[in-house]
Amino acid sequence: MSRNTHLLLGLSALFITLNGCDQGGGDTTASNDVGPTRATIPAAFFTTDRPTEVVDLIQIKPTASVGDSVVFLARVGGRVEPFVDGLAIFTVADPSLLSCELMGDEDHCPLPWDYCCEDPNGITAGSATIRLNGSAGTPIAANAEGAGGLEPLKFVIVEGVVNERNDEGLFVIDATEIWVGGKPMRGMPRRGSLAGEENEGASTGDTDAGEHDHGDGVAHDHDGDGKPDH
Amino acid sequence: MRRLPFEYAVRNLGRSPSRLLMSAGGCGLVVLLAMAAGGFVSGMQDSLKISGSPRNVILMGAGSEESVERSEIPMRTPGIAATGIRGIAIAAGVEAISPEVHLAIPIQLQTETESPTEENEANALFRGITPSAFLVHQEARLTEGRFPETGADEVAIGRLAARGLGLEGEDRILGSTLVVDERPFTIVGVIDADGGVIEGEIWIPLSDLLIIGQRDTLSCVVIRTTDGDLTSAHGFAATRLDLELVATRESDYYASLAAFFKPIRFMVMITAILVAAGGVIGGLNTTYAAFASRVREIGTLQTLGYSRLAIVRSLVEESILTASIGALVAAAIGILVLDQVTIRFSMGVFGIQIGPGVVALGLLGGLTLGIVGAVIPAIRCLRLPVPEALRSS
Amino acid sequence: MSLIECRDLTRTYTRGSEKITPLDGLHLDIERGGFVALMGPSGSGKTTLLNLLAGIDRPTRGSLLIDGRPVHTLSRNALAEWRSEAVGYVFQLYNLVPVLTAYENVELPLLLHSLSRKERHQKVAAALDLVGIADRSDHYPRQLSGGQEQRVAIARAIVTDPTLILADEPTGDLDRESATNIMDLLKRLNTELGRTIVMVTHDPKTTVWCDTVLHLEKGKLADSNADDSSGTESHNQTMTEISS
Ligand SMILES: Nc1ncnc2c1ncn2[C@@H]1O[C@H](COP(=O)(O)OP(=O)(O)O)[C@@H](O)[C@H]1O
Ligand SMILES: [Mg+2]
Repeated sequence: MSRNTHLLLGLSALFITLNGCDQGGGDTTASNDVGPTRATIPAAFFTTDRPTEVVDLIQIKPTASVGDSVVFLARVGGRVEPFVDGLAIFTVADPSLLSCELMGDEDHCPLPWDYCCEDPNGITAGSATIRLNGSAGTPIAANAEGAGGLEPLKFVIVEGVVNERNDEGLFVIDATEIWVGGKPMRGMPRRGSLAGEENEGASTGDTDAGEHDHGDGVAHDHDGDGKPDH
Repeated sequence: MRRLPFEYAVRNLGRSPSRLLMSAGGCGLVVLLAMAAGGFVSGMQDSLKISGSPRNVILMGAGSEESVERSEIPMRTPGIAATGIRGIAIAAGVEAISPEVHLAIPIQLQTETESPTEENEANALFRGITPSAFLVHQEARLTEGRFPETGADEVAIGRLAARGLGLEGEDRILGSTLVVDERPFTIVGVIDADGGVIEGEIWIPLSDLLIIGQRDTLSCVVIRTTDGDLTSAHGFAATRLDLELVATRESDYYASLAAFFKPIRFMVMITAILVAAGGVIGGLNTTYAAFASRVREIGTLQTLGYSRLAIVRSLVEESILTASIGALVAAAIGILVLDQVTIRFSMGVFGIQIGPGVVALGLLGGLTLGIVGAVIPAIRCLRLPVPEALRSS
Repeated sequence: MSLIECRDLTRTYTRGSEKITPLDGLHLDIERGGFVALMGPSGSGKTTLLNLLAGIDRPTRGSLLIDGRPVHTLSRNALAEWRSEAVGYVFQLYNLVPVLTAYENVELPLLLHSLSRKERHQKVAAALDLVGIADRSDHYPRQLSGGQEQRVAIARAIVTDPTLILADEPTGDLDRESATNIMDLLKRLNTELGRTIVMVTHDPKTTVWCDTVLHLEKGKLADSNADDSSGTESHNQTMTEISS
């Protein structure tokens, strides 16, 4: 009997080993880094009054110098993980860059806010890093996702000062004020960028945190999320 | 239920030695196959599972997160990272930053007897490193020989990679020559890494590999942090958009590699199961023939008053004995021959691992084979009414 | 009351659309302590009747009482248990288990009873002694002659002290001398131990040991005076040899 028990134990151990890869698999986010503490990003960073006469990021990026005050329109995204866990740093991409969810049904990106079909150099050239600094002049130790409504794919208008830049694509903005808009959709790439459109696309479940875990097959299910198909 | 004596089952084994040999041998082959498949899966799994440290962060090219071999990042990355990332561990007064190139290159082992040919050419995973690699990858130890010198056509080889080339024993490993790109390299060191993927790699000075690979980019920079907190590294990657980096915890990287190879492990197991199923069907026929030749005897036992259940039980005992002989021999062969056989793979080399779990899997497979292989033919034979069984010759 | 009472005993086999009735409405009584020879041409249903009496086959119709027990109503398991107590079966081809010794073959039916090893040993030794093969007890069947094998088979059939011994052509495969010995042995079991024996035979010479001869033909008793089971048409020629 005890030998049978051992055999069984050995076998179950093997099954556990085989299943172990399930847990290790997928996009393991380093959840044990530092727990996100959203509450500590001051509301003062965010405004509901949309600045008027704003240009796109790509129009000011090539010419701005370190120390310049800038205002520009962009969208949260450009990287697989636009927000940094534990630091108020996030990336934005120029509205001209086509993110996955604005493409047809036949697109291939694993994540809607991925720009997998764009040229990598184009993404780098059209992206910027936004930092929300505390009193020490360094990024606040909190994930900016959710603060002031910040979400991947949403339009933002960032007002701030250029902290770092180079011609290879580095462009770091220390933000002073951010207006958070809505999300565009296929066929209406600028929807959400204007005043009054802040809630566009916001009700869809497209950018729920759970979206991170979607496999390839699910990420393309744009029409399953309740948006009208154009 | 009154049982037939166990002795009866044991003695029945001796009825036909050739049939016993065939049945036990067939079962042994199935067990060996199950163990090979299980050892393959667990060897691959374990080698990836124990690889990579949770304290280390890999900076690699955005978009090639799943394969460091495809990643290309600027040469200036380590210098910028040194100032941009906080919490980098210091070892021996040096920051633990390891700029690396990972490349799979065809190599040949040069021997006195045969000149290198296309046939003995095999891909090996090279890691171009600087001495700081040992500060970052603390599981890696140079257990024999010394660190290869830059520009001297020297390499250090992982223990498993050496075994994969048929090199075993320090005397044979050290001083052997590998031909890389028609250029001979001398093995001057042996690396152990607790069975992790590094043992399947060949380490070569970074600048030598850059020349061989004709490249001016790194594959990655691996940094050891003081406390495993990767916040600063993630912030750095999100800030230095010009470097197009992602920061990944090293242990997570290998975990996702393990996930990536899951379909292959699945295929191996499925193939093994299918082949084993074929074996079972063949075995069923053999067993059926063996039992069918005894129907008159089975009818006699029933006439004496033995229940059909008692007879099935005895036949199953007999079959389990047969299977056990095969399974035990196969397990012994598996442990002696299969264990640590090296498998070359795109991610390097790993050893088939015949651990207790795999042995248990094999033995359990054999046991199942013994039971299933007997119950079905036994039931078929016992469906015959007793008078008909007695009538048969 | 007779030991065996067959009433309208019928066995029909269906093979495809064809129906074979080797035993057709048989009425038969066999007295306790009788030694009955069952004769008849090949295919006349002798083995079928024996199998029904042994409880390894079940009638399609009719009733079968053995020692007052309605055998035709018993379940498969009850039949098996009853067989192990009440019936000893001797086969034409002995049907010994080749991987067991003579002793173990004889012990086999006893393993179905709650007996100590010692009790079993006593019974096996007595049975082997009775059939005169005690000195061969650790021989395997292949090391025995046909006659010796059949003795072991008879020992196996009597070791449980059954009320009924059935034998299907027990001498059919033996030479004349061995056959005589076996018949003598069966007769001793009948007279000295009082065992009731029903024996199928092809050989008229063997019937001299029996007290009743029944003729089966096409599933029925051939002679009308079959019910006269106390008939003594054959003389008691105990322990004598048949002149060839
Ligand atoms: N299981 C069976 N299925 C079909 N026919 C059977 C079966 N057993 C016996 N028979 C047929 O019944 C007839 C009588 O058989 P049996 O009792 O063995 O005759 P015998 O008198 O020679 O011993 C034969 O024709 C035989 O073919
Ligand atoms: Mg017959």
